[in-house]
Amino acid sequence: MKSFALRRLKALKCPLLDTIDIADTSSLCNVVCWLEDVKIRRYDTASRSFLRHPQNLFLALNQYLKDLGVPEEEIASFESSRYETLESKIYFLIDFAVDLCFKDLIEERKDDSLFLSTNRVVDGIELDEDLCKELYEVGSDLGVADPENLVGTLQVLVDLLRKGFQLDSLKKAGTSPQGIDDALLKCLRDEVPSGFSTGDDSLDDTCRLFRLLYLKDLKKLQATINKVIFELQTQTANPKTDTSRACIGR
Amino acid sequence: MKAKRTFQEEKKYFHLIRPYTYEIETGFVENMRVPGIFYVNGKLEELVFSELQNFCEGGMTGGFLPAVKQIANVASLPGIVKASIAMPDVHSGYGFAIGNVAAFRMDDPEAIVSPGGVGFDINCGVRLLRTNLLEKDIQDKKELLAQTLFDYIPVGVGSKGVIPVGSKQLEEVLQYGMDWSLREGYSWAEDKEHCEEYGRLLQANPAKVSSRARKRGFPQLGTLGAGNHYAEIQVVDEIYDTFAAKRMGLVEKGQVCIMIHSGSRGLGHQVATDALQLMEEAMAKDHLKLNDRQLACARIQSKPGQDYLEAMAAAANYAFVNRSSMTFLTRQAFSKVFDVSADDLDMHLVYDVSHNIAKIEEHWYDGKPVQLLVHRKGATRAFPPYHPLIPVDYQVTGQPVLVGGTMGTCSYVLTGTEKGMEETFGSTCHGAGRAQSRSSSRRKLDYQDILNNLKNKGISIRVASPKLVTEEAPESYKDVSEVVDTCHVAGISKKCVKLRPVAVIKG
Repeated sequence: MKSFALRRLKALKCPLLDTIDIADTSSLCNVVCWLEDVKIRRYDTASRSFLRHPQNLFLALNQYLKDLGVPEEEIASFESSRYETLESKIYFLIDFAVDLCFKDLIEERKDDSLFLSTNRVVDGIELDEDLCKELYEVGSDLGVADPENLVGTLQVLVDLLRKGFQLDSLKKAGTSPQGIDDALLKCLRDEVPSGFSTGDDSLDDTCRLFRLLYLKDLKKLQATINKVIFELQTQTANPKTDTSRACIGR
Repeated sequence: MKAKRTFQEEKKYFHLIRPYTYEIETGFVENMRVPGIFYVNGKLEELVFSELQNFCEGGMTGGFLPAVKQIANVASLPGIVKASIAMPDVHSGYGFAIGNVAAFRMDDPEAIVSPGGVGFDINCGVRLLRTNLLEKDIQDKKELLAQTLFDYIPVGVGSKGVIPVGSKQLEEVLQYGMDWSLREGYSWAEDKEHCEEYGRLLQANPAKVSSRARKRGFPQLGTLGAGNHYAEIQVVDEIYDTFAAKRMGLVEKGQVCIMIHSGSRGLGHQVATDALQLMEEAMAKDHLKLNDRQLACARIQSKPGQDYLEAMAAAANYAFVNRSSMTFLTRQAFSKVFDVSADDLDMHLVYDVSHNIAKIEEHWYDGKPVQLLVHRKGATRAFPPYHPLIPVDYQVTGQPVLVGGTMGTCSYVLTGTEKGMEETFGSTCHGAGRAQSRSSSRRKLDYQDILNNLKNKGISIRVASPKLVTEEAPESYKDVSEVVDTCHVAGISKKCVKLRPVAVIKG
């Protein structure tokens, strides 16, 4: 088996690493069964039996891939892979399992941090779990949600609301949808320079919006970079600097 | 020998080409390749022309030529493009006037780099920290805060830093700039993005920094120094552009900020001194003839030119680390006084600007993008909205520009404009600008009066060398508000926030 596949199996904590032999169908069958039993879990236990016969492995894998939602043409493309057909199907299954593990991890982390009761306390009051979920959804739609910091998200949302309603133009706009649209357009024109003029106001407004969308992505990138730097600092920072409020100086 | 022109004859070379903008016609001094341009209002104009008049009538200007002569001399340097440009705070300096901006084509083999166009305090600059405190929160702690800051930040001539640095660390500081501060934990992750050049000049080569310069740099990292350098606790006094101010986290009047003004200390000074000596020798070989020997320079592509640029970048990195180290100490001091973490005090870096530096930048010139070596000596980069080199947080507002006032006077936060990019290579003023020489200030002013004046204004002050405050008294400088207003009206930068000092720490 290729080293990249062995590395991935190792990351998945597969106990069969020492026994895998690419030329031995029984050994490969064991790997497929382990992936299904422990990582992929497409079928209930009884329905998995067709995978457990090395002599039928080739055909069984085709059915398994179909059931996993792999399109026919992609299954057919394994025939022309640079690896042996059976081998390439097993590599695909390993990648599939890794992908599932990552998705689970993201979900787990989101749930862990979002629903920790310690994260839901605002000014000494514990917020209802459903309310937190809804706040998180609103924050996500506005691009300000931080799953690890619900209180922070709430603060940003409050700030956004305050800023929005402080604008005179919005106050004057009343509640009609057209009035609000006009007021938002005025805000856009007043506060966001386009940097150039095409001579067409509508086109300039569109450019402004594209600028803002681009900046939103850029901000996300910057926040990710900062997070990485912060995490690296936990490993590299000089311990002397870690002392809180130490008396430094003369 | 040509007869010296009278003041009236000299004035014929000056043309008011737009309100607040004068052009110095070629011919004002010998060999001018491009005109000179300077921005002044009525009051500042008087100062500039009275200095020239004094010179024409045989008076001296502190050992230097008048600023307008220096602007014109810079216009005679090989490879200069468009104009030798001066900001409203312009005043005489070594070779180049302080407040002078000059750009040289990188693809012109004749073009030069001059240490005089950067200044001796390489990457001298200003940074501003914000807090979530209001003036009323610090009213009863003002003296304690001033004293704690004074205790934490080493100040004054010969002061030694509290950041431990060995030779290996100094090498890394010179190479990596603020990346070193981040790695060692002196800076916050967010600090880097709010710093000009992200706190690190990539062309730095520590090998080009002499051992003498290193020796001077060792003990001084994280020290304020003397002269016009300071750390000030300020409060927001006026907000002119609410939207831009909010982007910077400056949300209401009375909000407490901290401004730190410092540079590369003895290390930068030695790098400049070493380079000037080498360049004076190299100029003869390159057949470079200059109007003023203080303009000593070398071709950008020559070995002395490249060596200087690499050493200058290393000194600039040292200055970034120096200001970052003092930021760390400031956060520690505030944290101690208020007994909460700096994080809870929201002590984020608004921005960090350099006002003594030469940088390779791309600008539109003759209808196409061209690589230029832009010298800014006593001038601040002020890039407009959407410039790729400014942080994402300020893309819509334009780059924040920090303009420090003099001791006890106001400071300003401005933003860069498109017009500034077109007219001044994206540059604006850097401070008040000297109105009288240091020696003149020492003769005419009494330090005790100055300290009493500050106390009467309610400003807490801690000074390491009280007798030197006469040199930095507000009376020695132009009115910073006049300078800033001129830039605003001329359109080369836009007023955003005015800051008022409540406590001053000086060398």
